[in-house]
Amino acid sequence: MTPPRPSLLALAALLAGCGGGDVRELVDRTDASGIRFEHENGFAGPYYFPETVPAGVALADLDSDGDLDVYAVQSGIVPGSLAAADKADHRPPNRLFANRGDGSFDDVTEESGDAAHTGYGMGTCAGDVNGDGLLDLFLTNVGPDALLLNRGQLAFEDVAAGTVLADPRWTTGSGFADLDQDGHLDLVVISYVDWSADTEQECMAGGVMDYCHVSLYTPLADRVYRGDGTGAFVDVTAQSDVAQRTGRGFGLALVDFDKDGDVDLYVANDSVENHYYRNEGGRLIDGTDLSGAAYDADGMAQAGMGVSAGDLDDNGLPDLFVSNFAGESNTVYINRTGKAFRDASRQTGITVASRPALGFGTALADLDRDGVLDLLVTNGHVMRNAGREGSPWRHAQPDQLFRGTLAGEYPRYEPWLEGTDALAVPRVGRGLATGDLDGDGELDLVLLGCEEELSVIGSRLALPGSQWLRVRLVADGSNTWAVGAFAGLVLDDGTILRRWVQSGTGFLSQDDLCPMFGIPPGRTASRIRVRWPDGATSQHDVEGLDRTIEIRQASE
Amino acid sequence: MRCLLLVLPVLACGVESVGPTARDRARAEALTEEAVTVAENGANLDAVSMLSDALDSDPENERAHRMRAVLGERVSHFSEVIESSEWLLARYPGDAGNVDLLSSIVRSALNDGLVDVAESALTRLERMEPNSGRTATLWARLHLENGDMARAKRSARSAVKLVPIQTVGHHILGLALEDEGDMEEAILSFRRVLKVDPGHLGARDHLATLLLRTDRKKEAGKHRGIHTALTRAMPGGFRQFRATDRVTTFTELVELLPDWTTGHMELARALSQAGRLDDARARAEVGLALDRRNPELNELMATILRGLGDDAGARKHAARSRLPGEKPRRDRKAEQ
Repeated sequence: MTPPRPSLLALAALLAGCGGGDVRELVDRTDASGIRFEHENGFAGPYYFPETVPAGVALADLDSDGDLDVYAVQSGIVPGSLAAADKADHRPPNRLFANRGDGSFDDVTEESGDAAHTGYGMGTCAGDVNGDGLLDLFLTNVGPDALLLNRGQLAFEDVAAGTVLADPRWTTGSGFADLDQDGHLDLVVISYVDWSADTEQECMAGGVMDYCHVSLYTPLADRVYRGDGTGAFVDVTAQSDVAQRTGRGFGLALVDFDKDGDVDLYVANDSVENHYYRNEGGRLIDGTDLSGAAYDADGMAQAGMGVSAGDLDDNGLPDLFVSNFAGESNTVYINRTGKAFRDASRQTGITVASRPALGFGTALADLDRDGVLDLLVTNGHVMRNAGREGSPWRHAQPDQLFRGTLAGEYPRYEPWLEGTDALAVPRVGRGLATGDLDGDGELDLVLLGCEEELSVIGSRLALPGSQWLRVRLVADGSNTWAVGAFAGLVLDDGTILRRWVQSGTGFLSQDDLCPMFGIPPGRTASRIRVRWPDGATSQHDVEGLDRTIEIRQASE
Repeated sequence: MRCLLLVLPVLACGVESVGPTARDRARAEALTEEAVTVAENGANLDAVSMLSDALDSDPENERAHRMRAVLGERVSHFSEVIESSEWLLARYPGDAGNVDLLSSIVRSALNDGLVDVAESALTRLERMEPNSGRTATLWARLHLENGDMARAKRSARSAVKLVPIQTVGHHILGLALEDEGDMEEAILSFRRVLKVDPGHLGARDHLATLLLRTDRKKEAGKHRGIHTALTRAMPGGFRQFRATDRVTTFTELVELLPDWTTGHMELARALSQAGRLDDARARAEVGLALDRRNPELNELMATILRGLGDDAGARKHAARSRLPGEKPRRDRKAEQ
């Protein structure tokens, strides 16, 4: 672990505006949160490939009380492994933590019904699939997936068993979106590789036993399911181009990339090209070859892990940030036309700092409330012996934060608070989700690493004099949380801050579904424009900042 | 006082080390000698590791530095390349071969993300070799790494003017032109790259995308097909290949790209690893017919011939393979 360097500490102090007692920092709040959760991947000697991947985490208001609850995905023992027979009774569940309203939590897993799911967990996403106003959860696993319908009072029921959703393959990323704009949420589920304990292979790396490379396993096609608003889904993969491609997928982004009013799909794949599908009339059309976002600028298929989408260059179109393998750079794809992206990683300045790290969880968030999105990445190697003698890599790695600025054609990102306490702790990072847990108007981070304890990081990075606005959108139809909607906050100088309501974010995780805006010092917001999931648009006056507001589509 | 009684009194008392003992030097020599044999058998990664061990024993072993500066770049051990190259530069400050060492430092530093180190070495290189195609190309790479597309474009233009037959300069020029939206000029640049190196992934990818965007779907499809096959064969990051898979993959690729030297070389390497030495020699000959002076291919051919018992042939190719352990140019000249 690298100790803080004096120059960086000096920079942090400068950024903190020291002298006024206004300390700007990230603070580990895990103990204060009351959350105790340790991820298990089941490693017990033999190297089973699924152990390298998990797990994700969700921040969502699951009891509709206005604050964010935490759902942590557990893995346990790899199905079919030697340990599975020895420890048949050891089935650690996913855990649900209910927010008391102040950022401290109660573990309510035991009373949550099927939320105490015991599959070999990978990830999760949230959305209201049956129109009851309550957020439901989808869970991906090695083994059958689960759809947890929220029955209220933080009790959940898995309704996937016996349906198409109980896909027994190894699935990873997932996200809800109303793809056909019928008012009901559909579902995209990403698959990794064709794996079972019987097909597990033994591999050496650097002269010692370790996990095999993904290229030794067969990639799979992702799946698309159409929802009817009751919690029932049918497999419509064959009706889209998704069926035509295979990949080794992890993260996904379901956003209206081409600004035509419906939600498109981007998938980060491990060691093969990333996929891009444009939504045309509810059908996902393959736009990968034209996109410029399938490979990096050097024409290489990178090891794509997490994905975040947001307007990085202020041109009105959502861009992409993809985390990749160590030795590769993370990638910023700037969206030029909705059909054509460009790898602008070098232009944005992220290549050098990101190359040594193996990035997984990602997030775009305006942590300092200067009106520009910052980048967050949680890192950790997949090879257990990555830190062996002579290797430049480490298994556990520090997280990274990049501060965004806008000056010229491309945004610029500089490493920020590098080496300071909360970021410096090396972890085998995987899931990362953002949201304001304690209602103080500053975004908090929840990180879940592989075989790591869940961490809650509070940010105190807001510029003095800056303000905030969190928006809960309520859409018509059964998609009550307006998943897929766009919200643009118009500031008094005409600047527009843009957010998209996204289900399935970063790496197998779920950020808060309520868009969070940071309003720079000296500015105020006058109105907010919304494009709803069904394509309708509306505009609303903003009265008062530093609070959460609710906007209902039906009120128009 | 007490530290005088300890096993490591020198370190414990903070007294400066007295340098390697005769035994250390002998160990370093033996390891370097072994590294030569290991490298001759194609195990460059192990050879570099032995050379680093040798230099741990005797940091002044010139032969080990010289070998490591060359082999290290081939196995992506860039920090070792920089360290050994800097040692050699300090040892022979006026040597004519220092331009090669400096450009090696620049490349290695850029590959390792050490932009400041690269810029410093490049500034020194430019003083020794102003207005050269190599210097201009490296400046283009450095500006690209910094995201300064305008300066990257200027340097790339200078580079390809000075050395028209090259890949890096044309590729960076293509990227800069694409960035400006000049698609037709960018397409021309990427085509020039592929003339020199048909297996260039970046140029193939960008060309396929730009052709599709300009509605030349059939040609775009051809390039995309080749690019996909190439990425399957040469994915980035950590890889665990099996020799038999590589034989199949590269056999298909060289059928697609018969003028691709690297493809023939990789196929020869895979055949060699699969124990098919006669086939490997035949394939390496095809590659050498395209690029007789390719150092890596000559090194591979030397290894194959050695395996076949043709020591004379192996020596001939080894001599063409930019053998590590060369003396400085100044010394070679004196010997002549």
